[in-house]
Amino acid sequence: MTNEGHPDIDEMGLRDSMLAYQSGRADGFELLYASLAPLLRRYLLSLARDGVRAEDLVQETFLQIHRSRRSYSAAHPVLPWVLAIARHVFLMDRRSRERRGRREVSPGRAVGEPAARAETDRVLEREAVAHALAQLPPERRETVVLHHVEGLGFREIAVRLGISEAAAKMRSSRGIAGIRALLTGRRKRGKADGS
Amino acid sequence: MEADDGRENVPQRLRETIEHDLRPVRPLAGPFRRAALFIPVAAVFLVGVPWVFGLRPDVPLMGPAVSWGLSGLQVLAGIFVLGLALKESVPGNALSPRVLIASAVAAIALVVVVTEVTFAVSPTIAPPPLRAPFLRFCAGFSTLVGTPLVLLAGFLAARALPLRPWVAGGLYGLAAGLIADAGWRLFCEVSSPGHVLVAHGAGVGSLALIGMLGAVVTERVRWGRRDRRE
Repeated sequence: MTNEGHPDIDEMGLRDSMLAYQSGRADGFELLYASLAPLLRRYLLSLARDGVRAEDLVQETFLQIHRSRRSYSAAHPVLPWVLAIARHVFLMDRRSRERRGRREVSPGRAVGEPAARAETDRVLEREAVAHALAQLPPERRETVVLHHVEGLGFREIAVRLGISEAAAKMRSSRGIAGIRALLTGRRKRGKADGS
Repeated sequence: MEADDGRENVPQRLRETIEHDLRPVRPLAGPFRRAALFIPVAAVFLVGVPWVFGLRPDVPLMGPAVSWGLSGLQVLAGIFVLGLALKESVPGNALSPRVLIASAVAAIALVVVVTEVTFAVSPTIAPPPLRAPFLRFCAGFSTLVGTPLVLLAGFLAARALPLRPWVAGGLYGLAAGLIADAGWRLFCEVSSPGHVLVAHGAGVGSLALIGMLGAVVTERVRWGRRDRRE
């Protein structure tokens, strides 16, 4: 469930797929799914911090996309529309879970793929970053993911989160500063333990 | 789950659900174009309220600009706010806090200016013993007659996917309130700012609240169905 091996997001291609999907063509939906599923999975994983739940949320996001597909306008980019739906799916799911009192936090299946987590330092480093990311307050985490992982501009993020561009920048920079501080602390602890 | 070309395949269950309902859909028109569809409804409302309840007797003194003109302006403002609500209802088009605050302030300012101008041209006040009943009557009935407008606007918004239902609902409730008050002021002959801002303002505020609550309930019902499916 990493970014590796997936093509970069091509906004024009997404728009064409979306238009084909709106006109009732199954291949439009399939192309859309192939382009967006990995990205949505990463995004929802960053929010949910649970691989299984993120997978469920990806499927639910596509169902919501299907139900509200008429609300997409070709005059606008597809990605903010899709990510806004995904974020809403996550928030509603979280509220449902809280209401049902089903809090499921299972660190064992938290961030990353089990196979990739196994050996190398690179993967450990990635895990450390993911762990630090998970410790950020949700609004900072989300902004960092949207900007540094999904590559959205601050203006796009601001529009989608309903905040000012300056606030988006501030959240992102504070988020990065937080990650840096957490990683530095972790390294220092590691050295102290080793010595 | 990858195809031969490395692309990720659609899971079987999701594919079946999508294919079961894969009919062509016509994309929604732009929010302000859809809001413009509301103009005939608002026009009927504008004429209908004074027709049903009676036209205020001081219309000749007010003149067409202050009576029908200012009500028309208020309707246009309502249509604009409705356009904002419909824009907010499309995912990825969330309005910034600045726009939201500006729309609320502009709507309040418009009602205040219309009230002051009307009072300056035709100052009428309610007799003291009738002030409280008039307040209750205007607040209650302007809310009542505006409620169908909220429902209709809510239907338009729900055709998209309002992700912040309290914001979208508050906006289309405010729009319905402005339109309802535009018609109501052509019936209510009391123009004193105290009466208009309290009683008619309460009507506008109640409709905004109804919109907000209605949108939140609609959203909860929509997601409740999903929960039951699970």
